[in-house]
Amino acid sequence: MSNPYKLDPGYISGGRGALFSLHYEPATRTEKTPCVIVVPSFAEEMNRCRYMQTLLAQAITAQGIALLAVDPFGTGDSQGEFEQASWEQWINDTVSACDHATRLGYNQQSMLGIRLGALLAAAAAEKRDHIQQLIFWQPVTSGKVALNQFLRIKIAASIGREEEAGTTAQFEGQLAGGNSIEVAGYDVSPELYYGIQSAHMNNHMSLVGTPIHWFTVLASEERKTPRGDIQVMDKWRENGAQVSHQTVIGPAFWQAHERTLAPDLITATAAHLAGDPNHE
Amino acid sequence: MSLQKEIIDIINDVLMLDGNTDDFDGDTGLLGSIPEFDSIAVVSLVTALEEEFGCAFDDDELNADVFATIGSLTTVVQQKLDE
Repeated sequence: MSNPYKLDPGYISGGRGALFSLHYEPATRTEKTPCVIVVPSFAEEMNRCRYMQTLLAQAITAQGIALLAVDPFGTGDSQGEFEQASWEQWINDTVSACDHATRLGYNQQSMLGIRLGALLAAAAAEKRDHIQQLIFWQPVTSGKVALNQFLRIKIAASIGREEEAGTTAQFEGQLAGGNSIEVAGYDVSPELYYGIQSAHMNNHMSLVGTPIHWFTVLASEERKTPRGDIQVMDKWRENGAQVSHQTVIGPAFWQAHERTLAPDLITATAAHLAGDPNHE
Repeated sequence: MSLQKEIIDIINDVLMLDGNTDDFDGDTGLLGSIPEFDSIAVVSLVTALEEEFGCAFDDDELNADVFATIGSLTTVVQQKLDE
């Protein structure tokens, strides 16, 4: 079997430093070849989602679609320390990724926002209106709720140890004093914390010209899409946005302890990108 | 379905135990007993319980007593539902 894609790693210039970029180019390339720009999740979730990103790249390059993944400043293999990162910088880096796709000759661009990356993708799409569609994988709708869960990891990590667990209120006090907090090995600066805290899908309700395809991964048939997610989708639709929602049964690969895959999500996303209505 | 059974189902989903929870009961240990039950799993489980039952956990409820066994966790969730 011939290699279905060409893998081209490299660095692009971002606002604050070089950003690591991974470009999967399909074997056959035309002027109309579409490109999916992946906007990754946050902290440990970013690592846990990597393999799904690779699988998606393999699946869609085989159907003639390119994939571009750029690590935001201070994350992955890009320059900068996590502590130096800010939400605004990450939005700018997401825009830089779109501009890089344009430089690579891709005129048809979609963005895939994974978890917290969905909020970044929505913010970036407002700055680049050529984006043809947004695809979300289990999007985070409220930065504040995501941070609460993130801080809880810090509290949960101290269960059963001698150390003082601390409370969310204490951590917020530390941040208000201008200090970073360390959660599960990641130093989060006040700037990044407050940036994420103010991020919410409701801030992007004027984004109505870009169709959105929203994937929810449910652990089993018994689980339901969170009510808050449905509300965001309804509000978007009321504003005139075209929002389609699709549920897929699979494990929570973004939080799994072991490397875990949701192959049905890959199949469904590839089918959606190929415009196959039978899979919708 | 009993509350305990519902909680076991949620634990099965969150920890991806693949249905190996048939012999789970109130005495089944969680923290320190199930290897998959790390700090991220605790947070995932709490989030799933909050979504499913529409309740809220306080920071100080993320402790070793609450997550000792399925029974201890069920008792805490039951108290929240009775509030």
